[in-house]
Amino acid sequence: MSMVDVSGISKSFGPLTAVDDVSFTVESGSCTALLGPSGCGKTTTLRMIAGFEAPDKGRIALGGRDMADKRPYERNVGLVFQDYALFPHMSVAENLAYGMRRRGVAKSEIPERVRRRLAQVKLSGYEDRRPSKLSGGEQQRVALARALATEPEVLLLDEPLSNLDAKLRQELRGELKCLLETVGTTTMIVTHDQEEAMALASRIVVMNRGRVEQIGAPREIYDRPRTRFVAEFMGRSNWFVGRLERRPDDGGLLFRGETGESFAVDDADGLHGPVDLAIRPEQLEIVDAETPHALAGKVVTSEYLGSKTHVTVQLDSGSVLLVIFNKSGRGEAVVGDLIGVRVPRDGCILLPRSGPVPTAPA
Amino acid sequence: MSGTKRVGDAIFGCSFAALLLLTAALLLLPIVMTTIMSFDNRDFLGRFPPPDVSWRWYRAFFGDDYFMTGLRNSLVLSLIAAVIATTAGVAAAVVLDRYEVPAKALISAFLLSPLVVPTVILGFAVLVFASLIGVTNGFTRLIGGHVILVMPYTFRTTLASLVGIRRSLTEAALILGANEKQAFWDITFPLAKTGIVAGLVLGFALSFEEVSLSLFLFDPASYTLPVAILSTMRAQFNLTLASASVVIMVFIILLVVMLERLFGLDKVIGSGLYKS
Repeated sequence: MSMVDVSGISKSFGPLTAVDDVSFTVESGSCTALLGPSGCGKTTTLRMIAGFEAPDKGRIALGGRDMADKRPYERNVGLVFQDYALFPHMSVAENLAYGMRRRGVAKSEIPERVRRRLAQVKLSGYEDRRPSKLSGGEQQRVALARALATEPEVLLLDEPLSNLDAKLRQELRGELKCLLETVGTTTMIVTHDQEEAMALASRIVVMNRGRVEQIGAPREIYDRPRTRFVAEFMGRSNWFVGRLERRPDDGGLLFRGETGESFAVDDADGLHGPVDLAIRPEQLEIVDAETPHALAGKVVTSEYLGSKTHVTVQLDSGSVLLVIFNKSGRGEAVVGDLIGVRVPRDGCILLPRSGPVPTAPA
Repeated sequence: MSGTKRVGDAIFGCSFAALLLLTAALLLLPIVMTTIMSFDNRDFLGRFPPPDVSWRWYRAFFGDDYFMTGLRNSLVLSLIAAVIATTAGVAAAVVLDRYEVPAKALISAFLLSPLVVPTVILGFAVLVFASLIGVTNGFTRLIGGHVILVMPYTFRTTLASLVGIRRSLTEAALILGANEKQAFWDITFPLAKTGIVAGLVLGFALSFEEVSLSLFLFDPASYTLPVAILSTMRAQFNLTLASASVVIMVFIILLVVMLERLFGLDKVIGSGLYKS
């Protein structure tokens, strides 16, 4: 059953269209991420689900019930704000109790539930502290506990980790994932960080300029982006512009780049003629210069980053490729070496020709 | 070369300090002299300093029905005016800060406009308006005038404290199950309390010491203490006026100290707009 059912919602603020005909569903008990750059409409979508904004068009249903004209307090939704929005004049326990009080939980039950929720986020004993006396990570967990305390049908997280420093973010991401799995609430996360989306969500809705670009599992979105925007947003790629042709020998597909490269590629959803081709840097393989079918080139830079190495290769055709391989991977690349780059047939992302190509590996 | 620069700096620094001292002296000396003279034991207004001190002018002040009626009127008037102005100011500030309202800047400027209208004009306008709508009771007129006079202050202090309260706090209350009214009383009001109380006290103090506006609006049955002092000065100039002034001054100082003790004056007047 789908817990969240958004169909065809649009929202404009004056001349600005923030959300444009967005539709998606979220299965009960699953975690979905709304992913996109700032200004893509993901936060506005979240705010419409929470009831802070009303869509100009379209329909939002939660748990099968239409939410049109329902105020936030008439929906059973939990929300963790980006700034956590903890009430500064209340203790941690009072913050947690607030929602339960306002949602009519029996007074006698509240202390026990507060205790349980705090234990769940590993903050037992913090009952009497003020939010201002907590660290960022602790505040985030209190906000999460407060949102869960009312036992919402849907839990919304607005950039839950963006206010934390990089190291803490990774740590809390793991904790958050565990917690969400334990609680089992239907969850939606708004984020601009594709790693965060991939780590936490089982489905990702990629948004751009108010529209949905693609919906799918993280692997699908990363490996098989359907638009250039998704391909570029989800990670770095090497881009080629060229044409797809039939190979004379076996009838398979051959990519012929405008700058002269050519290599065999696998099926491409019936695409032929002019295409954009993207290859993720970690799909490429550095091989000996003489290897047949490999693209010949020279190592320009080599950055050893511990767990992986970034290598840029200038092909004989003039194109510059970024190759990433991990430590246990193939060989070393020394600047100035003449090498070959092998393109795996199944590692290419093929898209119908669109706008101009980025000049450097993006 | 740097020698001349230094001398220039020193001269500038000294004259700046001198100017500050002079200004402070000009501000303080009359007050100090009035305070000292209010303890004078002579029957007549003699030379400074008084040769002998006593409480006689204070006894005269507190024993005078005319002054005491004025004092009582002033206290009641200021309290009523401050409470009304605070209620209205808070309502206006909340609406302007928290809701989508067209022409926000214009409305805000309008609400603050009594600050720039001379009180003489304000007094005259209120008097004319009151007589046009048939209000002849002096006390009612005074309340009306003082509310208009004080409201910009209560409005501004509330607005300043509201600006510091993140919108997401109200939204958090709403999503946790509170309706708008509950969210206001549970979250916004407690957090804006400092500014609201500051506005109330400030409004009370301003209303209490206001004279030019009251001069237009009072009638023989309802006059304020400052009006009484002014009338007395014209009729019979004696040192009761000095003691009355000191009483008002001490009263206002106590209010300000109370404000400072409760909230910190800095916080109330100054940083409201900039706190995160």
